[in-house]
Amino acid sequence: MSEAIRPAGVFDTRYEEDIALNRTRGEHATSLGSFLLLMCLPLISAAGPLGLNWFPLHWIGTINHIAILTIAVQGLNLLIGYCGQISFGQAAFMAVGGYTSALLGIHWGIPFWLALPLAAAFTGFIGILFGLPALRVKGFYLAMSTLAAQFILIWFIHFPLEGLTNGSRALTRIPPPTLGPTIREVQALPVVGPQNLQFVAQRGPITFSSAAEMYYIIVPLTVFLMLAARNIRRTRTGRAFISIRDNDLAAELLGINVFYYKLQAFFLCSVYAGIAGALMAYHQNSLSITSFMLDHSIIYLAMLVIGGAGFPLGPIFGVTIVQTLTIIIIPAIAPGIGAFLRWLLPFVQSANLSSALTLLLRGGILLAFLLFEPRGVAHRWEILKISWKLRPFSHE
Amino acid sequence: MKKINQWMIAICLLFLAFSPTLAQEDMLNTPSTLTSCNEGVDLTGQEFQVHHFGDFTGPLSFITTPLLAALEDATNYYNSLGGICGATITIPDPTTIDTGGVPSVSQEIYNRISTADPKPSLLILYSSDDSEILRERLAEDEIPVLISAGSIEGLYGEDGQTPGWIFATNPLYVDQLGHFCQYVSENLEQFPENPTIGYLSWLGAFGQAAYTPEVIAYCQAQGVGFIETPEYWHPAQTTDISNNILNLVGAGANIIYTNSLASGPFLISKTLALLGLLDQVQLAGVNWVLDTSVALLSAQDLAQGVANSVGLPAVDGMIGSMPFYWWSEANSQPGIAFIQQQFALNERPFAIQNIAYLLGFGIVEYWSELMIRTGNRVGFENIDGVAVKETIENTVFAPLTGVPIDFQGGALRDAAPNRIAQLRFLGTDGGPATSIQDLDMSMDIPIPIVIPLSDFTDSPDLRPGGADVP
Repeated sequence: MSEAIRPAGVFDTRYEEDIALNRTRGEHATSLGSFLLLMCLPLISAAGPLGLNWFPLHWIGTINHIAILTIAVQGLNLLIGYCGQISFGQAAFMAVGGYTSALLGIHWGIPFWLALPLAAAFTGFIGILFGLPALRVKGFYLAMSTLAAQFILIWFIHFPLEGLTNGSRALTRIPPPTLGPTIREVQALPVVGPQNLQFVAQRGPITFSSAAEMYYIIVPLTVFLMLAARNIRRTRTGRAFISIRDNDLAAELLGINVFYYKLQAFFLCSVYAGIAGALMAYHQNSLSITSFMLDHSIIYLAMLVIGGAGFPLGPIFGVTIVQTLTIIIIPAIAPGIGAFLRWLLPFVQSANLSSALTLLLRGGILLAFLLFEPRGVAHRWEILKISWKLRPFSHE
Repeated sequence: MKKINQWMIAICLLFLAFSPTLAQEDMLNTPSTLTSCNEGVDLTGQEFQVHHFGDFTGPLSFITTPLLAALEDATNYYNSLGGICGATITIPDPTTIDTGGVPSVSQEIYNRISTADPKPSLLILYSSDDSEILRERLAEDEIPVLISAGSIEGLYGEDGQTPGWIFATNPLYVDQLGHFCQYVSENLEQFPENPTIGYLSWLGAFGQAAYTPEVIAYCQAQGVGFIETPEYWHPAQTTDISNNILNLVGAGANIIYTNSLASGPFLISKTLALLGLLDQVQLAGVNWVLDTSVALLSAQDLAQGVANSVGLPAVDGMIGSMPFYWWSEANSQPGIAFIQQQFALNERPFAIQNIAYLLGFGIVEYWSELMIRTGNRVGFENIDGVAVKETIENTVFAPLTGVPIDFQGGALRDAAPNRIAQLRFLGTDGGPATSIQDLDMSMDIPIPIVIPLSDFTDSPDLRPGGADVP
């Protein structure tokens, strides 16, 4: 890993230096500068106080979305990349976090700041329940048991809890987060299932309702959770995860409580998913279970594989690449490729071609990634960083 | 020899020069009744974008693919007439606006579109899920939306009495089901004894939109029974709905009503045929069930032996709402004749000759009319969502001389004319086929036809607190 390698001429003389995330002044300045720049983006968009339109406003919402997915995929990274377990239920765990936080806010008026940790803790608890089979099974069998989590959780949200969650219809009217003393307005909800529920509206002096406002909750939290995930790897827990991943029998012989640490990995993975789900709920002001189906769990796995499992930066790379492909690259190249395909395949209707093109291109590009960079983009990034740090004595 | 060649070339050139003129003489006059632009307005060089997004690769793609074709053909046509006062009508590339039927993607695309500069003054949506999720955002952003049909929550809020910024050009799904119950009660001889409806639909806002306590009460007041426990299935994940059907039939249903489209009604009819229940149960549904896609899916299954008792595709005889004119009404409807001609000119395949193509052409004309009227009223540089909403509320317009759209000055509820029709297959005598031997196979496949069973009348108002709720 590149963080263990210091730039030529830099030597660690104290333990604090050895464990520091940013070892040199240059690294400190780069990290701080990047964070400040990130925080300034909404200010230089049309939503900023100066009305500058230097940064497109719609990109703020896209960054929020990328950040939320990064948290969810980072959770998977802790489970898969660090601990070597597998989960096909990440989207369902996100749904648990999302619905828990939304229902706490809608029906009981609990503020976002409390609903978020409660939802994360509850999702973590659910994650532990579905992680219990990890004691007895692993590999494909564990994958199957997490698949059960995907179906059972969604079914539970859908049917038994339909009166609360609105079932397969969207749950709307999620109150935006507020800061400062809130004014609660209790209104009756006339037509939501059999129960006569109440809707608790909240107003406060600072309301995070727009994408630009939510940015100041989502992005710092994402940065914090990314750093936390990076730090977890350097703790006793992280080292236990890695030993279980590499050889669980050897880990057990070394005295590591494998079952305990596996459950801890499931707990952390679910907590991250719960936070991501809660942020998604409050960012969109609505939730629908169709956003948490099996295909989403698989896409999150694909994001991790593309980004690089086991690397702290893997989730950022994976999510950003997949989202950028979907939002920018494919729409940009699709018209040209579409025109070429229409010329090549004149018997195919252009409308049919247009609707299939996104999926075809996305599939093709992802396949290319897996073929040519199977260890993920983060692995390539690590090699580049090491080469830079060791210059002019690069190992290559 | 050289001279003869020169003459031949000259004749060919003359023929080529005059052939467009000859072709144009064969074309129908456009039935378009678009308002003229104010005198002196020339927007040449400008662009007006038809802002829309929707599910082009998910369960709704059977409908949205033909719709995209219609939008493309219609914008080309209206641009050839001069566009919006000289400005070109453009449509976004579908790959940039495909939600795949996932609400979180819809949100993301909406965020992108609604924060564009300039902000869109009118959106076209297709999904009830999207309308419910975006209802509040649209009101905050002051962006009106045109949608084909929708749910109470999407159009009138949870109390069913609060019109928002979404305007449906067809009756609400609850009102369509109510209209069907009314038709059943007036034509009992066409239905099984003691008609009882079982509701079997897709999960989600669209599928669940027609099932409400008000519509059950209305149907029961009409003398039509209603099984109070609905059955649902997931369009993308479920392939076997035998249990759902057996539950409904076991509970006494002899009419199965569905709020689904394309593969939905097809799957129900196929399952009924495989269970041997097709003769005992009448299949019915929302306006989308009377569609070419449903018929063609069912016709393809004939090869596997899935058919009704006379050997016709299993969906033969299905009844549904038809709040617009159909392809077969070209003789009486110049708008339909015109769309047929455009369809042929653009060499579109028969498979997409369906509802969505008709609606797509109509919606571009309606959109153009709204833009021109708003521009004439407030100035084209001042067109925004608020101005367009005012125009929508105060405009009575029949796109391509079809069914008029009237939002009654922003009154609580839009006018909702509807009629009931039946899906059949063309017979050799030009009428509906009565047996497999009677099928017209001139196109190598059974040809679906839609036969109106009633005239246009206003649908009942079955929103919570609606005028017709018992």
